[in-house]
Amino acid sequence: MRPVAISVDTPEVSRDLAKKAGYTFPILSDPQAETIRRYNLLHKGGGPEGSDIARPAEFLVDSSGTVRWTNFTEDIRIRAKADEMLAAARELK
Amino acid sequence: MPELTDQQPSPRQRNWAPWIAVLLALAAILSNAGFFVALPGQRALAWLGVVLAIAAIVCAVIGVMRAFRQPQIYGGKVSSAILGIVSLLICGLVAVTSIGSRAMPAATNAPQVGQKVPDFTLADTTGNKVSLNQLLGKADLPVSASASNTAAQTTPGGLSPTTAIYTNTATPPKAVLLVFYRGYW
Repeated sequence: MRPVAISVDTPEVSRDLAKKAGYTFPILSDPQAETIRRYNLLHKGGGPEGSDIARPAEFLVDSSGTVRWTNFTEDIRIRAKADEMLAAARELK
Repeated sequence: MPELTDQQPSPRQRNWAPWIAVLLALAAILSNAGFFVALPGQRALAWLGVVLAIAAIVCAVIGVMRAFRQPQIYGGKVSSAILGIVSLLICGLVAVTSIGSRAMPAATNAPQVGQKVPDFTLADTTGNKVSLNQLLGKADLPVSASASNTAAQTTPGGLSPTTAIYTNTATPPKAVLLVFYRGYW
């Protein structure tokens, strides 16, 4: 299972994040929030100084590009339920 | 025979309520620290903060009412008022934190289970464009990210070498977990 993180942060900022946090998965940049819009995850004005960002969301996508599990938190303080996601990932053969 | 002294109309009592109010309010705002610990029950923690704040406001009101309506028993009008205001301010902070953390659009139109996700091509941390198909293993990943070619790449800004970001590139992954996050890290 390959995690892929996406946000409006630039590659430079994401590189710093990956280095500081020790992440070894891809972190992709969507600075104009185009892909975020296509996924209907836009949080208009939700960032500092009213910038457009993504609302948090996770999708477990199988090899055919089909969604098998989603997580849409209602509270940014509440982290993803890792055990649920792992259980869904294990079900994929 | 002992002398009977004049009895007080009612015994003096310490007005604890305003102090308990401040403690409850502090507990409410400090409960946010619990979110940084990866324990289950985080939803309950969010509600705990709200419950503690409401309890704090109730105690603050009780404290002020006792001090002002029964001054001969409780006294402490000024201290109850000050502690009441402090409690209210802290509870205001709890409210702002709770409401702000939940202020986001619903994901009703986002891809749901069973649907196909939209394709995309975005830049990774090395600046290379990578598509969803490449991540799903249906096409080759960017050359500079292959395991055999992760030599030190310093940028003009002098950043440290990049580490391999695409692991296990020999076999396609069974699944990809797309994690959309707020950014502005």
